[in-house]
Amino acid sequence: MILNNDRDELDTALSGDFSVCVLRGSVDSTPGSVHNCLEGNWGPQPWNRWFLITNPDLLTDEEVLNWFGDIPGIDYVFLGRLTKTITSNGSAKNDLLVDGECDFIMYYDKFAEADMQ
Amino acid sequence: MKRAFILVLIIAATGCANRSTFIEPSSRADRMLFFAEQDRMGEMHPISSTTLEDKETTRVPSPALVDIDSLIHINVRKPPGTPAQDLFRGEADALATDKASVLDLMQKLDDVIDARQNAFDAYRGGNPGDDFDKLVIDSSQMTRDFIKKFLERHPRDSDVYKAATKAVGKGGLHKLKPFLQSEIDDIQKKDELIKDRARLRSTSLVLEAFLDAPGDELTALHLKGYDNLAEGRVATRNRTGLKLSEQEREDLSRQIKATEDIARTLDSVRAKEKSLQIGVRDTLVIVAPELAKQVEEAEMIAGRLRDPQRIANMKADLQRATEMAKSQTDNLSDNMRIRLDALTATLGTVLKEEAGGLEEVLLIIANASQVEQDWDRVREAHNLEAIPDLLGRMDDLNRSINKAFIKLPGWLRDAGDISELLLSGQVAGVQGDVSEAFVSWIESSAVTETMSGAQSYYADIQKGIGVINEVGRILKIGSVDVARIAPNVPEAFHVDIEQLQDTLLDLRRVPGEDGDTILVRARLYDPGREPTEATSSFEITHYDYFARLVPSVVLVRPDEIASGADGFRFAPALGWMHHYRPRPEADSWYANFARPLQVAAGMHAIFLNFDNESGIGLGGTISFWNDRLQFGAGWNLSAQSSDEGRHYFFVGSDLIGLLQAVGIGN
Repeated sequence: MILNNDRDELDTALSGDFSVCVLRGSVDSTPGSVHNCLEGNWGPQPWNRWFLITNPDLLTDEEVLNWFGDIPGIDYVFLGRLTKTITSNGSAKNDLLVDGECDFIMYYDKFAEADMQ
Repeated sequence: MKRAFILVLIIAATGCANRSTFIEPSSRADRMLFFAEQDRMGEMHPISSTTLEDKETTRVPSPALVDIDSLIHINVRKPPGTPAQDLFRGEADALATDKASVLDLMQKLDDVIDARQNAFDAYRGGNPGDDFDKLVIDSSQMTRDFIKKFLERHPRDSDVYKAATKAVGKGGLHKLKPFLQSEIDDIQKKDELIKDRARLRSTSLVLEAFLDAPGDELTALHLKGYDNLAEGRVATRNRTGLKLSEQEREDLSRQIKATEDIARTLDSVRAKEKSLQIGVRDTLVIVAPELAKQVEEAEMIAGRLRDPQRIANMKADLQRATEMAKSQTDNLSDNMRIRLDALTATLGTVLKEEAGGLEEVLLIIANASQVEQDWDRVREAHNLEAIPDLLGRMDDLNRSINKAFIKLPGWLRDAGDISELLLSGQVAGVQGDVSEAFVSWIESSAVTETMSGAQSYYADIQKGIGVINEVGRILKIGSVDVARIAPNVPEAFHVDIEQLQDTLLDLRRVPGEDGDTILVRARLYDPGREPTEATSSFEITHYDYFARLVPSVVLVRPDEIASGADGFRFAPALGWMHHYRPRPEADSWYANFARPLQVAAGMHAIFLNFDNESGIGLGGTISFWNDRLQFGAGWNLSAQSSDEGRHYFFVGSDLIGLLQAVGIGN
């Protein structure tokens, strides 16, 4: 889901038993491409959620600091299903795409990691 | 007296038990195998040597007689002079490990898919609790483990990974299965290649066994450790001869009926109601009814082949085709005219009216076959471009036929001329209207009718040859008894010389009958050499005690009869004969007595007809040479007094067995 104006859906996901993937960047950016991939037919579990935050103002400073370390190169984060702690974060280009194409196996891996926490 | 003595000698010759025969081992493959027979009482008997002690192969069974219910132990040993071969073992082992790893991955993937589905179902159940969390955590852990393993095999920068992750996007993790399967297939192929290479560099053995039953195709038999054939079921054979299978019951019933008919026929000869010649012919037809059928068929075919109207029609069709060809070839090139002339000449040979004798028949078959193939190809192709290829094949055909029928100089000359004519000149340049004219000639009714007549004539000749072969088979003459070449058994595999194992041939699992043969073929593949082949054979027989029901034709005579003739007359009898056939190594006085005489004793029932009164007699029989010669005596149950023929005695034979032994009937 692309979040630009409000973060209700993100808050719902963060308050429930959902593994959450948060991507930050524009629709045309690499995280935007990954978001497109996640919207495809790759077989996620129903408790997996993913959001593309196109408006940086939707995230609190604390979230930005905790999830992305305020480092520009880090543009995605996976949060544990029960604990909402960071299970992985990093560069979408490196970790979630392979040769610029969707790396669906990695999405399984990252969400599985998040599902366990 | 002299004639009777000769008759007894002949009978004895047909009834004497066969003996095991052996040949000297001559090849390495011969010396690899040591056969021993375990009889139904569990006792072991050596076959490949006279002793079981050192299991040294000193003779090759060819064939050895073995009991029908025995086990043949095959001790397989590495032949002398074979170096140890460990080539490619390392590679093969690595592949095996690799394959196991992929199979493990495949299994893990299945588990992951199931686990994820279970978690999904629990979630959809609407009451997620601790169990749900556990399912999610377990399935996630399995997913991660699987992906980790997958990445170990295929790193992210590999082409396989890139293709695999792309495939997952089209439906989920189960899309990885084809990738894993193709990996398994690749490993399998590599494994086969390595095995092939190893086979070329190391010695291996292929061991095959067959059942050879007269009149049937060779049947491959299972040898544990050497093929993937299914193991036959153990069949219990009843040695008292009374518990018959449905087939045996049918056979016995047919034999009893034949025995009755033979007895009646022979009695007609005795009573001078039939000539001896007619009697013998009728007897042969009774024993081998299929012979009469074949003779009838042969007469019918011969009539069709000689039919003057048929030949006249074919000649007329040929004439029309020839005339048409001549009129159409006016505008054709010389080359084409030569070809058409050659074709029509061949047709003329096919229809040679004065064909008589084997040579002419062979000529017709060869030419008709040639023209038939020629014709079909040209007709199918519908253009002249097919002709050069066709002529090449015809030349090959001619060469092979020339070789096969080298004794027929007349035919060779004709065939050579025709072949030369057909092959001479150029055909590739013939185009356009020529082609059209040729095709229209081929498709004309004159030509198609000529060909159809020739083909039907050829078919009749083929049927005639079939009849001749069938008669040969029934009478067991001609080329039908040539040794049959055992085909390769696709289920048999190469066994590395280092991994040879002993095996077993369980005859109780083999659907063979007395007199059938078992073949065991060993082929030893040495690197860079032609395989060495060794064949051992075993004839199935009955040893020790067995009994059987024996229909016989006997010459019976009443001891005393008040009225009518008291001489011998033919009658059918059924005996229950008990045999004891000593094993070759048995050395008791009885074994030495029974072995050459093939003695049996039993009881019989006989259909009597003394003084035009039918009756049934019961009594005892003693027989020699496998029931070929029988003596019996008994009581006529229908007789009221001694002078009505209450007591009788007979001399007889299991005539059907006797005739079968000399090659007549089945």
